[in-house]
Amino acid sequence: MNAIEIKGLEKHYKGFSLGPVDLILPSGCIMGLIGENGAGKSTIIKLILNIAYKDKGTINILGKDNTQRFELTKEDIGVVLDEVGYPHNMTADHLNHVMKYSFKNWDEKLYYEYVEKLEIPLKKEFQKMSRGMKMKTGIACAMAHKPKLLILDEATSGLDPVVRDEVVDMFNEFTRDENHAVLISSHIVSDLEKLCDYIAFLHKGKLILMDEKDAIKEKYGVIHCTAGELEELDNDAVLGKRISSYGAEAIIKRDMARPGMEVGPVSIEDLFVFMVKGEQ
Amino acid sequence: MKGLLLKDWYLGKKMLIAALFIIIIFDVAAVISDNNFFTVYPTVLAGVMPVTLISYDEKSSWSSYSLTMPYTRAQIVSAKYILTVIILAASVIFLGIGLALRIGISGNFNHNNVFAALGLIAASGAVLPGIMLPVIFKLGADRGRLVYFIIIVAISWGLSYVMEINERINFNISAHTFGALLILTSLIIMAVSWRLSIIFYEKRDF
Repeated sequence: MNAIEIKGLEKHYKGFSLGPVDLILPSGCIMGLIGENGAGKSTIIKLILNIAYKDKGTINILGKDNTQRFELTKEDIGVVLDEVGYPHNMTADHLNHVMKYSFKNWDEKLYYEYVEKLEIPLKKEFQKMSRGMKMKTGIACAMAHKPKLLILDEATSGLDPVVRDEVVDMFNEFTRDENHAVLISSHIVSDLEKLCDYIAFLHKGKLILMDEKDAIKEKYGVIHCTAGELEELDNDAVLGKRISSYGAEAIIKRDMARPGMEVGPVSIEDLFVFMVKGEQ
Repeated sequence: MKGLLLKDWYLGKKMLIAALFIIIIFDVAAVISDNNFFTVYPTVLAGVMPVTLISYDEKSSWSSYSLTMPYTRAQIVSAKYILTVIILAASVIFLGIGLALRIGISGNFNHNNVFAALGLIAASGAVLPGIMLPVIFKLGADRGRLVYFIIIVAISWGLSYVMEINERINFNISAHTFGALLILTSLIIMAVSWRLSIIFYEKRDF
């Protein structure tokens, strides 16, 4: 089963349009939603969760249309939003009580295990926590009701490298169950490169690429050559290029490289930057 | 919905306890003085508390987060109305006791007068959240407050007009009927307001 299935999704605001977006996240996988600030990552997440309403298209979450009895589906979704969203004077202890009476599957013991593991202070008011601490609290709450799908909007930003590593391990552990899936958005591409099975690139409201991470690395590569050699390549082969007085650097489709051309491995971050910036 | 009410309790605990003290102090003042202000003001204050809680929710982005929890939008709205009704009922009961004592001490105890006064207190407490909540659920706390001031001016103007007509025609109704009419009016205001808030919130995009 697919954890998320989006077809022809569109949303139009004054000055910004999203879509049409088609996206599939299979169960057991982690998908990274990558895009610059304002690319539409949070908008997609809001539309998936019905926080904002779509103009067109269909969204199925865990096999169910998100417009039909979605309150039941939400029992199986753990969410961390960019702003987290807990009231300023609440503590981790208060949150346990609120969530206990909200989620049927809330596991108090598991919650306190996460709180201990992530070193979240129990009695500290939310407004007095650092951004990283707020995110950790959000992650503990999102995981303690044993969801099947985690939706995380910029959830790793603000975390120090050690905690980030720990959180990444938690997400990996979570997806060992083949019924579980994670959709995580970030503009810190290196985080997602480590974590994700699937990568979706968003740019100015359009989904410009979506594929398995390993397939992306197999399909695309980086070349260093002269501007003239680059010119000889088919236009469709080049996803992005950077030309300077010292030569040219480009991301190309490996299967369209000229014979003898040395094509090096490309990082997801470089691929994204080249695709977005194009020619400089 | 218990989780939502509990969250409001944690969020507004200090404010609600402070309001309780104000109600008790004003209650005592209402017993020893003849001024109706002491009777009506705490209820009006209690009625706007849920509105304050909504503006806190928006500030902390709880309004968005709560939509990711296993609740319908109607349940999220209803939690605020249940809270409003609880606060108003508590306020009316406290003040009703104080009022009965005041009238009793003055030696003119008349249950019809107490009933009419309770009706007045309930209506004055219900009218503010009754108007403000749908506006705020539609537009958000910041924009909603502006619309609220416009509505209040319109209502004040409307009331003065009604009173002018009343003086000219001189309706003659008993205190008991007056009280019953006011309680009925406040119930209708809350019911219509509740329904409108659900309709508005179900359509609202965040």
